[in-house]
Amino acid sequence: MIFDALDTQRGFRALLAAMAEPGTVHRAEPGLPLVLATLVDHEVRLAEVGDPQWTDADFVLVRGGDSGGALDGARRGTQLDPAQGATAIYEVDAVGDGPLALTLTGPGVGPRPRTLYLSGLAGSEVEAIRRTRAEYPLGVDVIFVDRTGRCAALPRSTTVERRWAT
Amino acid sequence: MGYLAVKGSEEAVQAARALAGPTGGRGTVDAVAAHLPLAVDEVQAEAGVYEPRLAAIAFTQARGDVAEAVFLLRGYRSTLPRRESARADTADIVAHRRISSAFRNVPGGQLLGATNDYGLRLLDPGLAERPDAVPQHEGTEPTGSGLVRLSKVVDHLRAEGLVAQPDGTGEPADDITRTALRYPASRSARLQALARGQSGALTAFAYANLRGYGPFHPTLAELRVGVLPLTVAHPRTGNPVCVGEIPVTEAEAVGQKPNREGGTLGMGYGCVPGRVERKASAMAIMDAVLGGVNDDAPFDSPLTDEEFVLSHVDGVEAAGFVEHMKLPHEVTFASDLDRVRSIRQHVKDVP
Amino acid sequence: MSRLSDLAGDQRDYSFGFLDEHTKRELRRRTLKAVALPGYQVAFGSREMPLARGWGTGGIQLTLSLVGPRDVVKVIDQGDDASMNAVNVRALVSRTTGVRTTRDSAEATLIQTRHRIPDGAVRPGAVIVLQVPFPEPLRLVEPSDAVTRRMHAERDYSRMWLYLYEDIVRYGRISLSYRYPCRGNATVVLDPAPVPRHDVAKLHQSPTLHLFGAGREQRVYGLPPYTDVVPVDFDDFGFEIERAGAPCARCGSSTSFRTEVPGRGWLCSDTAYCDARSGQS
Repeated sequence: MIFDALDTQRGFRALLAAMAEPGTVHRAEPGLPLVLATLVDHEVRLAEVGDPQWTDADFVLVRGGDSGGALDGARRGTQLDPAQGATAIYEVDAVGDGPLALTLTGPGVGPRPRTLYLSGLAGSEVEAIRRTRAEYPLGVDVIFVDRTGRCAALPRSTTVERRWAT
Repeated sequence: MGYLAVKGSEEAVQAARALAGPTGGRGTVDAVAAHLPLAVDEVQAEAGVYEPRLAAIAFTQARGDVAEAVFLLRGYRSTLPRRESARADTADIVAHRRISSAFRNVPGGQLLGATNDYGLRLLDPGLAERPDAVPQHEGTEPTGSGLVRLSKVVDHLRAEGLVAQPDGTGEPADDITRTALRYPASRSARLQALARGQSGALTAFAYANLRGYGPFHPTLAELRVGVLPLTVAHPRTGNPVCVGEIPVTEAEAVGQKPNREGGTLGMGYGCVPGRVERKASAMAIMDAVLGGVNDDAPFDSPLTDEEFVLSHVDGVEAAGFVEHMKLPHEVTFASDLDRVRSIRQHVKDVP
Repeated sequence: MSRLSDLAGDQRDYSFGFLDEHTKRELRRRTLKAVALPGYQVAFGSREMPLARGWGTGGIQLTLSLVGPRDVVKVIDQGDDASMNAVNVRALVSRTTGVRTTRDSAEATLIQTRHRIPDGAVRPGAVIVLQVPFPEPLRLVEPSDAVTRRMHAERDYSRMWLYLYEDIVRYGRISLSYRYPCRGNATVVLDPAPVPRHDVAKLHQSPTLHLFGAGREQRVYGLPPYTDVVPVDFDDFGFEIERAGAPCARCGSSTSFRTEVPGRGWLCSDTAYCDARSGQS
């Protein structure tokens, strides 16, 4: 699949809006391939949990919505350079609807908490995401994308609470 | 008047540009390339691009303003895709000029090459009455044979243990045009920043060091001007392939006192594309100063502040920001005046 | 590729939006990190632009990495679309993208601005890109970047508080005019760009995403919408916005940011806002 400059621009604007307004859902068809084409090249490291030296990766790919708690090993940055913290990209079954409801507060959310619905993200994974951002500004920034291209993001500045909708 | 005049500013800008536009064309570009090769080389060195024809065009388009020409050429460089890094050993330089101030003579000899250094600087108005001569050089490079490969003076010093072996790690060099320079800077980042720095700025800093404001007391071990072959790995076989050669000027300067670690002399290195001897020498001095060579311990010199030196040697950044003062600043000035008036009122109210 | 070159118009020897894909990708990555860390300065490798360093190269690189064919772009300098630098920047954007431009801040999806935040309404979902000469608020008290980075890491702003205290002792008030330091997201202190204090007051819990680009200094930072942005001050010596000498001589506004034009009185700096109010466009 080849993406041109207009595709990656479209992908970027979707991810930027998702990151700036956590919990809102945006379109980045066809999904993970466009997200990777937009973000990844030879100057950054992309790895899946378990790949050699994956804890050093800039982008950590979690397919199947469950890292088995291994997300704790992803890079969180330092006080001097918090932007060194990694970005975790989760490919899930559905972004914007599903049994999992995350209640979000923080910058970009606004006066009332926002709820993000997801399907295909393990409940234990939510705990892992919460753990990695417990010491802001250290943390891992999170992107969710499904196979229809819907995406959402949880920057580490967002406080995440979990509740089940069903 | 008022906003009508302001809306016409687009026309005003176009008119201003037309008045300031370049008048030189092919003839001037040819003349610059043939007869002003040192200006061309200065522009290329600061732009970080070896392409003499384009540098001559930039210099012509900038009507002789070096900073402006560098700006044009760097902008062009940024549109080019980056392919490879090439490794080069400067012992492979085929030199047409090589001198050492450290010794009366050195193996291979003192090769003066083409230089005006020892001549009298007498302005020659008769030059304007003569026709252009046919250049004996291609740019700053003499054509013809007589070029030689020479051993390095500093290696002779190394053999005695007077200068330390090079401490290269073999890792790829940093590229400050791709990732921002951070302090403390790696040596490769420092050298790159100096190589791209404004000749005048480097000269001023190096001069300050020599006059006593810096801790490095150098002797020029070697200055060599020549042509350096560049080699990359063949994409399929992996074998080294020479992809071309560029003219370079290289300077190596050694210090005056043995250091505490190994009793060796401090050393500074300068290398620029083309022929800019003053800059290569100044670069070698500043490399040593910023590298911590200290012939005068203890010595607190502003020149040893790496952030101060490297942040301000870049000609495009410096010129751009100094000249940006000409942009409108009425909003920030209005904000200033608000505070000034408030303070003056306070001073009146509170005797 | 024909789709791209149709959109790019005459300038066929440059890629869409001038910057190459690699440069855009790197800046986009850094921008996403900046948005994830409100107010934190994120370093990026700034590229050469056809505008001189110091003339808005950070802003223009951000704009070019953001802009797409459906954007509507407004560019202002000192609040004025017709100002010389705004003309240049707008020309570069439109020549390399073919995108539509506008003076109307309510119509724009992307606003690049030097030294002002528009006084009129901004469209929901729009992005404001500010040109920043100095991203570091602590440069006021410390010239070394290595030191100021450590100060932010340790949230040690004591030298800045001391500076403000001494400022009050000397002048009877905080004398800082523009680049007024603010605490972002109750964490890091940031420089809101050389906008007047009148505009700093707009940042707190703003509905708009603001991105800050410093090309020469090679930093980008961001403020998501609905972020706390609180000017640094003391309880008894509070943050004060500028007071103009009179309402706008042209449209009568007493709430816009106005500057004086000697011989003409006080005029809105946001020319599109003033035009709309006085019935001209």
